[in-house]
Amino acid sequence: MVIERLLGQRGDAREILRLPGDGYVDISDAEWGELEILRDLTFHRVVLAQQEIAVNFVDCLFRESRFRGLHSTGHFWGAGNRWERCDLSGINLADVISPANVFEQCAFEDVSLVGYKPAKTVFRRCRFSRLRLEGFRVVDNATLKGDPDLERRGARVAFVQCEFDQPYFSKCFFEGVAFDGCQVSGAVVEACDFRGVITDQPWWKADERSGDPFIAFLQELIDVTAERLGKESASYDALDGYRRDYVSGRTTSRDYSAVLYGGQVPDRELDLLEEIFDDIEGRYPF
Amino acid sequence: MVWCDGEASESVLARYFDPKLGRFLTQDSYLGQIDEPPSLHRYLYANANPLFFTDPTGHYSRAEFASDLKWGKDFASAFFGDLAENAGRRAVKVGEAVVTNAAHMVVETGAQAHDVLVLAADAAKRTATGEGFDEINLWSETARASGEAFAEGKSTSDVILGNVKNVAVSTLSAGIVPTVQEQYSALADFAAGKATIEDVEDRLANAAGGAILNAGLASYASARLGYGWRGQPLSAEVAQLAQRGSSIAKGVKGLAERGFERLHEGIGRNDFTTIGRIEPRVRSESVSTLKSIRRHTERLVRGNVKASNPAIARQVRSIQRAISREQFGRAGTRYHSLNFRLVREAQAKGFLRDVIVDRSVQTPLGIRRSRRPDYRVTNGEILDIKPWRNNPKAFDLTDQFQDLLGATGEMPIPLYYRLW
Repeated sequence: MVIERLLGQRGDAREILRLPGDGYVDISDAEWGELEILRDLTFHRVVLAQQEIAVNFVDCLFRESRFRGLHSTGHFWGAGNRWERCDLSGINLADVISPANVFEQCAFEDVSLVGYKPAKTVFRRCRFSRLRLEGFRVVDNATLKGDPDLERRGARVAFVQCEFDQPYFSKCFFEGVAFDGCQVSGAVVEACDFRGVITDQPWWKADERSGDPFIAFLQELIDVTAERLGKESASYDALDGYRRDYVSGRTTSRDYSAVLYGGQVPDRELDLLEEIFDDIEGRYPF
Repeated sequence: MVWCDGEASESVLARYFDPKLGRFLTQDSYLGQIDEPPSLHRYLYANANPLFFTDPTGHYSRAEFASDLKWGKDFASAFFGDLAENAGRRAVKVGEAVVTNAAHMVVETGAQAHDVLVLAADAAKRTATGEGFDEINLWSETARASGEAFAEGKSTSDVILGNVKNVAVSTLSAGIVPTVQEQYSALADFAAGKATIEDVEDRLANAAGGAILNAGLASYASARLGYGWRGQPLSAEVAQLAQRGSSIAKGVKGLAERGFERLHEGIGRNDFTTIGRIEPRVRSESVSTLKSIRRHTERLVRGNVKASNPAIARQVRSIQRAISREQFGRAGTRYHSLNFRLVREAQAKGFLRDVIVDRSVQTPLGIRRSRRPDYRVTNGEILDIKPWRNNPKAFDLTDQFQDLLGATGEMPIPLYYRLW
């Protein structure tokens, strides 16, 4: 009944829910899996644990709250929220977006974000332990009002004075991201593109600079094509030829499907590949 | 800002969007009505089947009617023009579809049941407001008659003719005043002796292929099998489907009656008072943006703009391929996936903060369905924005009326934008 009571309300969630005292209160409820939007609410010292979450937050403020064991499959998002001194642990979110969010002094522990596409988002003095970031790409919107820290750095996403302990980054584009005064230790980086990062202190290794998620993506397409249709198939031939051209610089176009739909690949192959490609494309930051 | 689908702005033909106004500032060749409320109403009122539903608030404008008329003429022309040369091929496709897609057919027939639920609820409102007219009975009777006629091997035109007569008699005996909708005025003329039944048939066909689609639940379901059913004589499978539609209609009638009882007892929700609350919403920024995204998706598929995002370019090619192979169900499904992707991208940019994309809907009587065709659900909070419906020039053959259980077995998955 928590969501039902908060829907359409504005102000202090504790007052609306008539929660006694000032201590931590668990507001976990099966309804957090419903597709709803909560807006203009303040959550102070609430606990949300072990939930599938689909409820979305717009223009909300979270203070000293705890989020544990939450997961979503693409419905959850938040816009214009502010998170202060919150703890987030054991969180697994897919395809999450966060336009104009600010995280201030928050602790992230064992948080996994797959397909995260933030816009105008700032993480300030946050701690990340074992963060897993896969398929990350910054979304641009010049008209969206963001935090002054972003404007000052000319960034679209900023990590300011943050600590990263054993983070894992895979298939990420970091263009437009500022790392300012951050400490990073034990990082593992796979197929990430660091072009366009705004920082005075690069924390990634030099050989990781050339990583290109698109090549990793192409390789996955080619591997699955070989597995399903064989290396003698027209699809494999077309994709492998395209990959060679792209890697060698003969083409700079990333329009990989042009070689598949030009008439050389039979329909029966495309019928099979289209379903598989849908899935693979979903895991890369396009 | 140029609305585009990727990181770059290669969509040179895209229109300019003013986020402050929540509107696009320039129009494409078909967007003359983007700021015109009636064009927005199209998404609210009986759009899937404008002749099947009523328009109680009278917002079905002349302009919309003219547009539908044009669409209807194209539809009817394609419908009948295809008959001679393709009858055999279509009949084979229909037969295959019936055999291989039985499960889909049940789902689709369920969707028809939903149509009737919505209609029934509207009839309930009419009853409550003294405009009593047993529309449900009319349609279920029409469906039953259609099913029997098909089962007896009667020709399509005979069934239509019979239904036209039934509808004319029933509506006029119920005292319904003919409205702007051509169907009613044609029927009124017929009943008044001012028009022959042939004239009525002609006018209904010209209105929007309505003589066919308006022939009742069973024939509507049959029409959804594709224009193959025009390959007379009707196949036994189609006749069976018609019968199934008839029996479903009877079942739904019972459901609807229980719904009426609940309404009268004050237990059920009368969702039809919410129309007034919806109308301001359709002028909201979000609906304008959703419409614009939908049209941008159309333009991508038509090839008027080029996607800069390689994954989107691949999706577009996939849709184009499906269309070229007449796999309209597959095309519809993929169209919606692409549209969803663009909507999500817009949300990531901070737009559409009051919109949730919901693939399931709540019907008036509380039945939750995973998919259903295109029309307004009357709880007042759900809009369905479909591709192609309003563009008579593009993708005539991809319209949902021919999208069917389809020869492909693919089902379109409409997206539903819930607005707060």
